Amino acid sequence: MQNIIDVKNLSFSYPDGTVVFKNIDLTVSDGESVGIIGPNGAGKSTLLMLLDGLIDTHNGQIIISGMPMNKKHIPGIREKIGFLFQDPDDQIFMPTVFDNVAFGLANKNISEEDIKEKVTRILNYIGLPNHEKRLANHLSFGQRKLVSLASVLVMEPDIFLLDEPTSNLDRRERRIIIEFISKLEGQAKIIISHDYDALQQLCSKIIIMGDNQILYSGDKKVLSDDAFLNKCKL
Amino acid sequence: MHHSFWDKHSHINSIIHRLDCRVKIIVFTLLLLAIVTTPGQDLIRFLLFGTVIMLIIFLSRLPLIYVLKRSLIVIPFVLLIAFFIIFFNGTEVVSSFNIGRFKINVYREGLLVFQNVLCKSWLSVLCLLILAESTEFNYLLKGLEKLRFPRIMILVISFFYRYVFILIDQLDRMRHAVESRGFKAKLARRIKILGSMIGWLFISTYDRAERVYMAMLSRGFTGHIHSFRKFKIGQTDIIFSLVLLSLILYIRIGVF
Ligand SMILES: Nc1ncnc2c1ncn2[C@@H]1O[C@H](COP(=O)(O)OP(=O)(O)OP(=O)(O)O)[C@@H](O)[C@H]1O
Ligand SMILES: [Mg+2]
Repeated sequence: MQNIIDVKNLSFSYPDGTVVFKNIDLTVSDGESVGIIGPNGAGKSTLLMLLDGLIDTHNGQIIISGMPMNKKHIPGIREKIGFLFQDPDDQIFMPTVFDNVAFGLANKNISEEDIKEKVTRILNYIGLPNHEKRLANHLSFGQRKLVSLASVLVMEPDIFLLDEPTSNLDRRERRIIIEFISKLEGQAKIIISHDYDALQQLCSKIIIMGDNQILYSGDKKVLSDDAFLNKCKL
Repeated sequence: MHHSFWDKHSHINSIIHRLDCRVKIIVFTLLLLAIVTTPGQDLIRFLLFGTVIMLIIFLSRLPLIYVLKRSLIVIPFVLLIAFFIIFFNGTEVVSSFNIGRFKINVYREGLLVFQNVLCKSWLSVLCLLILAESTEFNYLLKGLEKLRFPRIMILVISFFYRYVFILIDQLDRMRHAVESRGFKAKLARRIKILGSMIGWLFISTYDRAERVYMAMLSRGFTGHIHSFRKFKIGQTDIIFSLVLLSLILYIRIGVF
């Protein structure tokens, strides 16, 4: 299998001097599903932003789908990647549900009819039928999370970067989201989560981040190894 | 986000809403120009412009009370800027009174400036409000783009629109956080705390605005505005603009 995400020797610090990680390596192969766990502030969200080319200064090598991360390839890389942000309020920036879900499609110059059809289909699919005209700011947190997910799913990306997809959801919404993610079988996924049960269901590989590095990378059996998790401050 | 977007009435179906937005932008700009170039003492003209604006609000089926309420946000600024002119600017005293040992004069010229600023700013804000409230935001931006408005200005407006709400949202969160912790303090401490809160507000808004921008980029945003509404100038657009423009012209230069 080919590596769709290939990260070598990646180091990153925020401009204010906060060192996030040093010399980390990471590979994800086509169709593989990787879970990332780690204590708060370990740099999990930062890693995903780097993979989507949203933070542009770093040391090391990032190759997505054969394209090295640089100015020339960033638009192409972003087209391959669907990024669900940790906080849906960062991702919802248009008045209506329709506008939010259609935003990415409109940027791709797809025809109006196709966009309408795709948005309607995806909203039905995630269980928010006839919500097109609703104001996004009137939705509950879980519904906003679903809308964010819809706006990512609708782009049909090859790679999903999902930052805490199940946090703050009620039992039913959580189950719905897990179900959608598990149906994405052909695509590669990186899922950040503190929800070990979800990772157990969704991932084949687990990566543990902490102390500015990758502490573990391997089988998901680690999720039930309490002694090791404690050692990783989890 | 729990606040409302400013074009929340843009889905009403009215003649004003249905107008091609290029026509709307041009007509409203001319109305605005006519208002700001009207000499300050011409109260009748201001009154007539006010009537035209009321008529447009009526036609647009926007809730009148809502529009009027929102238009009042300018009043504090006007007061701040122009109120004191009443007491300092001019030679002809209309009335005077004493505060303690000080004699305060109210000047005629000052009053005129005040009236001028008040009428113009209030009517202008009403115009802009109707335009913004009756036009879907993206359609408005696309209209500006079609009218060859500088691209950088359009982007600034579009980000302003998004970020203002983030600012309000952030302010709300902060207020709740503060209130939930039972904020009580002496005035001096209060002011100090308020100062650092405002600092925090700007930093946190900046960070969120950046993340929102990232979310836009990650979905392929390249700086182009997309709107699904069609641009088509029809009969209604022509008749509406002709009627309104002649009315505006008459009010502006007619003899009363
Ligand atoms: N814009 C920024 N400027 C400076 N430091 C930052 C910035 N954003 C994050 N950090 C710091 O970088 C580190 C990693 O943050 P990140 O958000 O990636 O952590 P995380 O693993 O996603 O945490 P969580 O589980 O809480 O979401 C933290 O120490 C954080 O304080
Ligand atoms: Mg995070």
